[in-house]
Amino acid sequence: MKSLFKLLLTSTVILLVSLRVASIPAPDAVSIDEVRAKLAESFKSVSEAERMGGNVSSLVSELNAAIALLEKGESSGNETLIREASMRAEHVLAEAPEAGSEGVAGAQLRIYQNVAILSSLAVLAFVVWIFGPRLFWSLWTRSKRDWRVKSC
Amino acid sequence: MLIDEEVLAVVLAIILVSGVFTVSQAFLSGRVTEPFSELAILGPEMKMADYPKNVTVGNPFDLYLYVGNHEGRVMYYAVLIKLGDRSTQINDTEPADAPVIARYEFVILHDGNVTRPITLGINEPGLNRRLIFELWAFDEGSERFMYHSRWCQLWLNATSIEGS
Repeated sequence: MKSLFKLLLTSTVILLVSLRVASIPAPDAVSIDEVRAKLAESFKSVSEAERMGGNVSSLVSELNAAIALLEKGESSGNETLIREASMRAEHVLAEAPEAGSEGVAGAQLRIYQNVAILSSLAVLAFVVWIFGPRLFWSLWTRSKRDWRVKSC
Repeated sequence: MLIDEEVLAVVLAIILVSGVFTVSQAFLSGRVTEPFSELAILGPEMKMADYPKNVTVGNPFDLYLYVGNHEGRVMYYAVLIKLGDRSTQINDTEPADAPVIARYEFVILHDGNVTRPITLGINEPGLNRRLIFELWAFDEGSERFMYHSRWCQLWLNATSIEGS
């Protein structure tokens, strides 16, 4: 009777432990909903980087690759693909702020370029305004210097 | 004076107007005045023709999905494909209340588009089934996909292998 009780107790403990172990997810397991949330977060960061003037083409390609991997992983139940999709989304999330900063720097450079171009145009217009007529008439008289005035 | 002053004034006015127009075009060229998105379904030959009309249950058929972005910013789209019938209601404000049979997502840059081959299948027979394609876009404010008021449809007759 005692040995039967011990056997039952041991079996129960083993069963409980195995159930507990089975219910603990693998440390690197990632759910589809988590990946979708990461994709959404990554898209928001890409969108923000674009608003800041950054070039986000490569990030968009990376996001689309992550989406494709998630679709494949979801349909085939392949954990590796889902993990890969998650990693790509994280990569986009990490890279987007840099693209945004580059966009801000580029926008500042464009402002300086525009100011320089407009200033040059203003200076050129002023020079033409002041010296244009004199230059024009000197060229005109030079081109007509061989002309002779005839009496009618 | 060799050039009449009035002629000079007209020439200067033309130059001024052209200059202002050119400069304004340079500044406004990147602006999107009327943002919109595109959704289209193409037949198996990637044309707006040869759409399937009669399909067999469980027998997959091919189509192409086209999505274009002219919203002036990068967009995250989802196309939901739903299976409805004559009674299914859909309009520009309300999506169809029908089961989703497939979902495709794309992130598209402004002025970009995607043409993607898709394979669909219908699991139950019926006449005048509607394959409804809805365009949804990710809304950053609410952090979820919202119906983007674009949809199109294919009318199909789905027959089982026995012909029922």
